[in-house]
Amino acid sequence: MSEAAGVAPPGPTGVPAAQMSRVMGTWLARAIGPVALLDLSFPALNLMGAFRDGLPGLSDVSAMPAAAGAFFRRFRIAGGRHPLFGLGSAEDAAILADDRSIWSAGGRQRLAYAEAPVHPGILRQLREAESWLLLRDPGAAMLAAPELSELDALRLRLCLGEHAAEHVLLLPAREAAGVRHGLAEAARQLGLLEGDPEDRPGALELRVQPPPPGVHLLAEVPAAALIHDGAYRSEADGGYTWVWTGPARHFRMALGGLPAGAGWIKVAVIGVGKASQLDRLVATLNGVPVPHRLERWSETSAAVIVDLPDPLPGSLLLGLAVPETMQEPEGSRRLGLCVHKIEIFA
Amino acid sequence: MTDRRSPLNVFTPLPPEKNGIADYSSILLEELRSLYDCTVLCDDCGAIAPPGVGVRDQAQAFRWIAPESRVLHQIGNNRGHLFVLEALRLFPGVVTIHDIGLFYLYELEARGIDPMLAQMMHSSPRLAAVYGRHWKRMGMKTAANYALFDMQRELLARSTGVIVHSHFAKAKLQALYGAEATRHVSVIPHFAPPAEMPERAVARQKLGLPADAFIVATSGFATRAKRFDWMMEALEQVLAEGVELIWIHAGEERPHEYDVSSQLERYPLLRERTRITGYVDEDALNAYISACDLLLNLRFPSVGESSGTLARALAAGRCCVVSDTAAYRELPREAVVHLPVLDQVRSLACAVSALHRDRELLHAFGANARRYAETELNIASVARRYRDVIEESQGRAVARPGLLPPRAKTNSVLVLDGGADLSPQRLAAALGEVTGSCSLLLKFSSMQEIIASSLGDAPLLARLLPEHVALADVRILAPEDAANSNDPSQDVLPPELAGRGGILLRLEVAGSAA
Repeated sequence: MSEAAGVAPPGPTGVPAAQMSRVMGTWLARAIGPVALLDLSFPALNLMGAFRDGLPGLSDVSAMPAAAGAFFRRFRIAGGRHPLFGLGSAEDAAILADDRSIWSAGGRQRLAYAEAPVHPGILRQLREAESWLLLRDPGAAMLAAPELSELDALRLRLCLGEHAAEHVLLLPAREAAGVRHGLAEAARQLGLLEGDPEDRPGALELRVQPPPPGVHLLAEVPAAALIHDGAYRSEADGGYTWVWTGPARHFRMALGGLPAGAGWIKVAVIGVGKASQLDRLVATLNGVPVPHRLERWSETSAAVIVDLPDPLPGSLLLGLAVPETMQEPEGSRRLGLCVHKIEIFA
Repeated sequence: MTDRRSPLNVFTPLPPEKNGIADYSSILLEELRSLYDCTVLCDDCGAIAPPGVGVRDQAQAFRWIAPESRVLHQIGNNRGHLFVLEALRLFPGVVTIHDIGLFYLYELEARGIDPMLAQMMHSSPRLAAVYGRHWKRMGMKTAANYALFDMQRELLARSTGVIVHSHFAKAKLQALYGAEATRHVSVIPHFAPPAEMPERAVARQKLGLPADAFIVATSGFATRAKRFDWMMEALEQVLAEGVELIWIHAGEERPHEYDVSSQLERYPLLRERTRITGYVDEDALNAYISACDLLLNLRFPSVGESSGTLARALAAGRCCVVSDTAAYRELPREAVVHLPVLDQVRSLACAVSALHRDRELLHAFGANARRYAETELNIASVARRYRDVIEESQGRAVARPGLLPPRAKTNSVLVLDGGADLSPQRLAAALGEVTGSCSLLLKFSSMQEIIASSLGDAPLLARLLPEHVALADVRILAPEDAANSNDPSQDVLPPELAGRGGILLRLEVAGSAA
């Protein structure tokens, strides 16, 4: 069966998309400095994967299939404190106002990223927050234009082999020329600039190189930063964080668009109620059961290792399902796995 | 070679869940997979499916289901089917209704009493007014609710095809919901599972049972409707007459429903000759059925349910005794022994004695049972009939709400004439599938008419509003002033209703969009 339409991002997917996003993240950071990112491309989260930080959200849940929207409503962010951004104005306002969030951090340029048309209500919130908006889909930029008519548009184009991704950066007119110059300069420094921007007033174009091969750690996501469905709030002892899954048996983690070259995932499970929860564990990728290996540390702890498919899908949800949850010895929660972190390797 | 089988998405529980419908689906899929490329969408990703049948996370079904996809739901009356009910709302398709009463399933789903009252109103509008008031205002909820509110209206309305296991079940649905609502209901009997049943002697040896004893068996969850009370009394009588037998109950006790063990204390002869196994897996169940001489499968009252155990016993060629009621009446008279509904204790005692005495008769019933199972209840035949229903249902287009953008909430005002025809039924119909906040204008032509209506059947609103609807605000918009555009009370009406007068209600409607 093929995947139903309406949940896949437009344009390149898999390794090209992930590599382009990584380059885009590097490019933007070099050109404009620290960014407070709101990535509205959930579940792909391509740019958030590149920045390894930010707020995840949906660009327009009212345009999605209702079943997909209902499923995405189950996910929690910020250690379990909030739902995804983009599900409702009251919740959205609370997410943006949370002083622990990167959106509220000073000294950073606010930037929202989307791969599909953005709901007018969200556009208004972004305008009030003085956020710039980066859209991968030029059609989406056209739709946003009436709401953000006071902004200028910079066209950015990334090419990797035969793949090309068009972006539009919407930002205040007074800053557009300076940012364009900064982006051109950053692209030159990165050695990726295609042509001379002075000669070509249109899009800034970057020629992206494929990711280098190798076996190494590409990303590490601590429990407190997981975007998940089926777990309680994360807990911490200093900088060491963990999250207990439950009361549902199936725990799902949104991994977004993985780094280019990602080959396997390791989930550190540092505790379970009883050993059979590990013995009879089922791993899923985008809802389909997949084989996994256990690197057992003790009766009740292990690394769960899952090989990733090739080619990688545009976005990835990793699930871990236990046969049953257990009543915690003291308290009322029903618990599955205690997850410390996930690591993604090439 | 190209696989030309069409994909079929099946929402169902599967083993290892302890659920008869999970076992049913597993066996059915063994056969359906030759007709379709089957995928099970399940809330247990560790579920065990037959070879070649994939299991996927039902919560992510939107990834694989398209508007034209073939979808089958297996629904029963327990917690394991909550996700199937939700999936039916998002992805309508063919539904097999295994239990004709689903009050308990809806009760498990509802959060609080008001959503349940909404579902009762949707299922049986006329009864819901009375029973809803009893439950909400007086705290009275009895077994009558489970019998009277079968909660099938939503399933009938949302499905493209419905499968039930008996003509009794179909006739009951037709009687309650009418010909139009049930024209897509088909009868496919519960198949006889094609399991390899061990020989009687082998099974007895495996289970440690005496080779020469006369063994009477029952199985499944011990519920009140299975009439263990009648069975135990009858078997005690038979034993008192000097007939020797052993009773085995291969199934789990549910003391909160019927406490078999404690009731058994009243029957000393039987107690000495009884074994209660607790829950048994499929292999063990087959062994116990093979080991027995006589299988008892009584029901009273029956809501039209079928029995997987009975189908297994028929396939094994065992003589079975059933109640002559509901779906069991449809079983051939020569294949099972039917007990009259009245005076079942005496009838059962006579039947057991007679069959114990006349083994030729016992075996004749068994042989006929096997023949019936091998023909009418044959799994391959049942799978083909499933295919016919699924393919026929493809012609009945129905929107799949799960694949569409969510319906936007509107602030429009519902309007209902407030004259002599105003009734609770008309108001309930006007609310339709509304849930949450809404406004309703009861339209009157004059204040005199409002007063007459209010006094004529006071208290008007208390009489009109269903129990699951709460009144948040009331405004009287005097019809005589309505034409005056300066009347400030008109501000609460949308432009298209300007100039209307009557009683404007703001309501909170419980329910889950049934």
